[in-house]
Amino acid sequence: MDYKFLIKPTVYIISILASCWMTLKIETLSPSDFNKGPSFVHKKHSTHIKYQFVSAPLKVTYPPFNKIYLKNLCNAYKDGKIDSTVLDDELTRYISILKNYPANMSMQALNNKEK
Amino acid sequence: MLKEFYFNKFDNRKPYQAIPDSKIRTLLFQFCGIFTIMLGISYLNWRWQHSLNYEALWFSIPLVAAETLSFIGTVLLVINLWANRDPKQEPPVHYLSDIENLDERPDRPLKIDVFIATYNEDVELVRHSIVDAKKITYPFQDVNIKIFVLDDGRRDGRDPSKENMKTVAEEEGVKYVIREHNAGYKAGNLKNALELTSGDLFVILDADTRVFPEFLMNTSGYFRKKQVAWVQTPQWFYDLTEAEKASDIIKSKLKLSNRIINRTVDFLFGKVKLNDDVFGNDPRLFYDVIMRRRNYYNAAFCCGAGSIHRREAVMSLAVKDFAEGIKKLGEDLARQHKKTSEILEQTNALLLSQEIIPFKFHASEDIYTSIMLHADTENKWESIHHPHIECKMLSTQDLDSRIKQFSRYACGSLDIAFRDNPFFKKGLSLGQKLCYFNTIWSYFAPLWLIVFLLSPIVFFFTLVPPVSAYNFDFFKHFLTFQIMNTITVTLGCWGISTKRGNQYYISSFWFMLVALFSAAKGEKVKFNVTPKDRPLAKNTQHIIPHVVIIALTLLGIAYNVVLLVTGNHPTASGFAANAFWCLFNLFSLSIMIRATFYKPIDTSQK
Repeated sequence: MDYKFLIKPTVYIISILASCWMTLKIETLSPSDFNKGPSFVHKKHSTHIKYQFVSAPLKVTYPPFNKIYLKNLCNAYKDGKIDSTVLDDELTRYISILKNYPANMSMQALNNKEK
Repeated sequence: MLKEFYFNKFDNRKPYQAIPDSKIRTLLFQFCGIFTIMLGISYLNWRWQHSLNYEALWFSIPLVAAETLSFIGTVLLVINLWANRDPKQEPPVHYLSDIENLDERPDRPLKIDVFIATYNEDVELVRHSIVDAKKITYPFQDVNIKIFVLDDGRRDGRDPSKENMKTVAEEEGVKYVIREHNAGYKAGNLKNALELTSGDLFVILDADTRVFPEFLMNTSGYFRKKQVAWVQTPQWFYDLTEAEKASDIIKSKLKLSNRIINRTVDFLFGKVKLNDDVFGNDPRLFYDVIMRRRNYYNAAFCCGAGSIHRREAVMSLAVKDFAEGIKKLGEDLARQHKKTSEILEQTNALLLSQEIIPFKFHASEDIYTSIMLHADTENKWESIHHPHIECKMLSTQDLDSRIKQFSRYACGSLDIAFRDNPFFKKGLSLGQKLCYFNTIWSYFAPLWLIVFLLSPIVFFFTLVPPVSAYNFDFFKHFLTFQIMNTITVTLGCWGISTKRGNQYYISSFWFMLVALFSAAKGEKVKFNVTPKDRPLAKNTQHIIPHVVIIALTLLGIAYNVVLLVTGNHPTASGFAANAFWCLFNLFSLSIMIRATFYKPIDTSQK
């Protein structure tokens, strides 16, 4: 039996699935991801000097639990200095630390405590 | 001895060959097309949900809306270019029974008419077309091929101030047809000819269309299929402006005579070539890519010159329209509770006064008639776009004529969009609806082009970004979509350059905007005859909007550079993105200015 008629639908389905997968993969891409994956250049047991390019870490110049810190974080995101992943990490860290403090502690008290 | 024209020197130019089909390329294009659409959806989703600048929605919303409208065009283009199905070429037809079911009628050799429509063109230019039409060869001697000059300019010698077209027709031994009015312009001229002639098939040529001898041999065979209503061949302009060396242009403009300076200019700019098809006339992309791919959907439309038609198809449409007109009047009168005698009287009066119109009386009569024929569910007419060039034509030789021609196409297509939109037309298949809608949608482009052209200028002077941030997320979404889109278009166009087409698409924003307003207001579309000679005067009025946008863009860039240097610019990445965008805009708009002041280099001085 001739199954040639199946070629086109198969190609279309594969195209749709592959396109969806790649689009979703691009969606999750962020600068923080670069250099985390396996590299063709550097082998594990190489005796050569390893050169690693890393993205500049976010410089937190203001102490946490400060309104200015949050504002600075937002501005850094807006100016493109950090991406959404870094922003997300910082906010998660912020919230997790916040959760460790007693619920009745006011923001003012938190700020004072940090100082 | 034929009169010498500017185009005589191009007579030896050979037409391009239609690009051979490739299944692998098509599959690759389809994959890229799907991926581009996915990325586009992802990009627009991100734009609408995460990137709006809520502090400047007045700016942010129009831009994202423009991007969305533009994306609809991208999707329609992918659908249009989806697959290729070249028609199977058949041997030429001989008898009437080859193209029609005779139903007990006696068989006979075919009759084919060749119509050369003219209005005010130089009669000697028309003579060139007649001479070439007379060279048409056909394998069957008993097939009656007649040539008719359809002169809508009434140049039969009655007006001594006009050239005499009738004499030229008589000298060449072809039939001469005129009428006493110009109702319906070209469509009316063809209608008049169809009333006076009886060919089973008829060829439409413009005054400057010069057919190749094999025209009928290569096209008439398609009519063996009884549903084929017309066959369109690609229009090839053989007089397009040639590429000139940048060094030659500089030397000519500056009138350089020093040998050392000339050599330096040659060394620096000798490799750079400019001004090839400076008026953006080359229709290869349209015929070899867009129209050819429409064979897949049976949605290739007639473009007038260089087409061959089945008389039965256009006449059946005309009779159907005629009958529907009478029926509609009767129904309207009945709804108004008129007496039967009154209804009969009025319908009879209409019967006597209404004409049978084969080609729609419209500025875009070709596309409109095609839509009507494709929508005829009773006869299920089919169209063929023949991929190979079978005739040559002249292009517009100045920007003024080019703009007039373009504006007529735009007004005509938009008029159809507002009055009888093919997307809602009963009888058309989904593929046909989408292909016709694609053509019409492209004329709505000023709605988004004007936003794309003005957005960087607004950013430069207000320093308000239209997006929430020019950060990694922005570039990630925007660049992946744009790069993939470019790859898809390149694959879809089979490698034919889209550079000039893109430039004219963007720089025609103003004329399309004027056409859009005109059509929206319901103004009657004027039929302009495209001039076929080279003009002397240059009309600089057309480029005022382009000059204003270019000046404002350059001023904006200068202002932002100053801010950057002094450290006062709020967002350097925003400037980089907008400046890059501007370069593309400037490159596109500049073609209009170059075309306005274009003057071919006088090679005789070399």
